[in-house]
Amino acid sequence: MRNAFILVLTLIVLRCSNDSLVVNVVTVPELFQNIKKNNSSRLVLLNVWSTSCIPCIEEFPYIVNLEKQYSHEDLDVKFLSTDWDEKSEAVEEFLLNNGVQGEHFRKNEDYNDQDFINEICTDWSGALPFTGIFDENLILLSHWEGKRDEVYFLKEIDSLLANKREQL
Amino acid sequence: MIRILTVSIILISGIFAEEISIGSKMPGADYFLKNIDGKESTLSEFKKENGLLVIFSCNTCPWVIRWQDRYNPISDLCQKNDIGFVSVNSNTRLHNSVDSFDEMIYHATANDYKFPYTLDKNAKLAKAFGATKTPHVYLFNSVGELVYRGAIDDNAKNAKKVKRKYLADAINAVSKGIKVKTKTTKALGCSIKF
Repeated sequence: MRNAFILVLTLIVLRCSNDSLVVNVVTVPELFQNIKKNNSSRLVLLNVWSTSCIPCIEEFPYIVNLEKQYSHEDLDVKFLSTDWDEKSEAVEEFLLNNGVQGEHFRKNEDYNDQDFINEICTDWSGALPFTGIFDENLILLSHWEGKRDEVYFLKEIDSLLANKREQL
Repeated sequence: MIRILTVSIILISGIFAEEISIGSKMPGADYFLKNIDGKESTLSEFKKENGLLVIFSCNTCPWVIRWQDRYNPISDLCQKNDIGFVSVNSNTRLHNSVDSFDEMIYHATANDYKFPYTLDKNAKLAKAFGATKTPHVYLFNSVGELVYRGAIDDNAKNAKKVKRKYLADAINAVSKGIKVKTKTTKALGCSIKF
């Protein structure tokens, strides 16, 4: 009886922890709509990645860590996976293993690649990873493709936040 | 200090060179590329009467894996239209592991590549092209000018669902000496590991 109770409790805890991560399959208009609807941060960092992309995996931990270094008022981090449907479980597993919570996204695999790329950033070639930093109205302020180190991320975010404070 | 800064700028611009634009002359045409048969050749040598197709590729990228069922038909189309075709592996950072020369031979054999698959030492050619990802295609015409760059078609995952065959259309146009309608396209891909 006691063991059954512990098992049920464990399952509830596990279920609750999975509930803290939501991965929505989206087109780009849906992506921006979802982010805008729930955003309360000055900056939104969008990282486009894939489970099969080595540089994406390498830079992932310190992007996750950014949320601990800035208040939610200053920065929100959103991950957008480009994995196909067959990798949906691997995406969620990877995010959970990296301590990612909240609402994140995966590209709708039927959505045209070229539209997907250009609607996020016309300067982006399509190479992964890609990172864009947007303001609260989802205007793209800064972007880069390829892997960067943690210092680069911090410098960009600090500089954009400083600009925002100057504008106040 | 100024010297260090200048050297840094030169190094950075070498790594992240701007991508060649439509109408550009073929860059790095005299660079030697080692094919999996052991022979070293240049782009000038790979070029045929009506032009040359260059595909930056690799062994493991999922987009390459999905698209490569179209590599041999494209090679056949090039051959039919007297256009040279060479695939290039510029993943320098992985040339001692999954993209080593031996792994390239294994990959090409396993996938029955009917075209040259070459190693771009130090990614010299990719840098000259300003190429950033795999697969990424560049089609040059009979006088070595870029007439198309970008994706193979509009569906990496499933060849049966392709709506627009960008590259095949460009090859057919260039072989007839007519203008390529869609000159640049984009698709997702793996970044080249410089």
